[in-house]
Amino acid sequence: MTGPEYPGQPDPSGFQDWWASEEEPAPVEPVPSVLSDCWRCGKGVEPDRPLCPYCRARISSSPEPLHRAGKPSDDSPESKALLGVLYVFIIFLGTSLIYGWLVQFGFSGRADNDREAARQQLYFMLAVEFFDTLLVVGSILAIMRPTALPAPSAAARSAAWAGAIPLLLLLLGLNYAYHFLLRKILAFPPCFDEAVIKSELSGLSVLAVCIQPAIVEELFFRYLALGTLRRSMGIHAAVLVSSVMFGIAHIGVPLSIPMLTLIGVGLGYARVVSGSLWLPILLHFFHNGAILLYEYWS
Amino acid sequence: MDSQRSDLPDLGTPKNSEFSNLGGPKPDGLSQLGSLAQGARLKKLNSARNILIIIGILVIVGAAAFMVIIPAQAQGNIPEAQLRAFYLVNFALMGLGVVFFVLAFFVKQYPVPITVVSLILYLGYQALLVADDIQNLWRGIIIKVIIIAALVKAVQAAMAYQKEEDAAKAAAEQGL
Repeated sequence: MTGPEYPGQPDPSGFQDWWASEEEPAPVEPVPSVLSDCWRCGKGVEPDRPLCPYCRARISSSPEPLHRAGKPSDDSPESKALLGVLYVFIIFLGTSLIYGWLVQFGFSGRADNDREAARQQLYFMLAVEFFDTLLVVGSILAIMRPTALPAPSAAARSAAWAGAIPLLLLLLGLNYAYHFLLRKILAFPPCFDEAVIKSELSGLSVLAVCIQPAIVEELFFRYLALGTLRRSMGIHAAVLVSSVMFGIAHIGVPLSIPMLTLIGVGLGYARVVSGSLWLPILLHFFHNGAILLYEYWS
Repeated sequence: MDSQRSDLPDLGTPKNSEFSNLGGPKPDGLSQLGSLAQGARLKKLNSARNILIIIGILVIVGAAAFMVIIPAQAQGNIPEAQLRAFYLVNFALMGLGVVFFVLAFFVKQYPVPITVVSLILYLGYQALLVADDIQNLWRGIIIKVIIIAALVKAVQAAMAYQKEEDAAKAAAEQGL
């Protein structure tokens, strides 16, 4: 039995070649495209898109680097983000060191008696803080968006805000007791910033001592660092590590580092329990403001 | 193309035993490769532990040496307040050395927090030394760079190690 002798000839035998089947071909299921994670917000994005549709970050068009077979890379986006935060922290340390040296060599011995020298030191402090502000803003834009902290319940949020004033008073009391111990009992010399604080109470000093540190330091330590650390460890460990970073970043006042670390823990838990960055910002602002007023009037 | 053809032989789904009989890749080849990677990461964590122990020893010995040498050289010419401050700072540095020891012993239990805190504390310690005397910046700079690079690698390895461990635990809990 043979089939048709020429194409198109009706097959008298009824024998049909399989490729002339009149059945509908099976639909080809579309192969789902492999989504790649956006480096900033971490959401899945089609690789051919130039911009992330969620956060508008530019998606790199370079292909994934080839790895040797059997050797997975340890260079994940999370580790890159954490290392980015650590590099910014190193730059923070560097600016604190440079500020300390220049104050020591430029204003030492003069600021205590010379109001003008203290004002110049204030301007210099503002310049360094302006650089730190640019650094933090740039790092927030360049580093992967930190993970969102677990949303607290309404009761926890209310308790956090209600306990803000007692927490502030507790931190101020501990701070005052610690430095009283250092100065009066152990007779430690004042730090180089105290001349600036004691010399005047003006809008510039409030900006330098209260506003800028409250906003910029909280953005870096309680938003970026805490959120990035949270990707790799528990919430308590993230609060503790970010607090250690906060304390050590104040390398210009090394004897205050333990107390500042403790304050960082308080601010970190205020951030976690309230679920908002505003509470630690306000606590930081009023804490520094209270110190500024106390030092000026004492 | 046409999965419903009846004239094609049914190749069937290869079984794991077929691969092992043919001497091909083992069925759990991926998990073995994963174990190799985890082994490499553990090596980095071990080297981080050793580095932390060495740093702890150096910090404690250095602070103790300073506490003996400097007052001996000054021969009582240091003011009382300054001497108290000197002793307090050096005791704090010895405490920091003990902290490095403690971190070294817990690096495998909590790899990510310990390696990150170790790196931060080491950077802070070096910054303190540089703040005291700028020449400390380039004294032993090669060793300092090696230590910092090793701690950075340890942080990366710790994160990857933690991720793999968490994935393995989740898979074990799901009974895979």
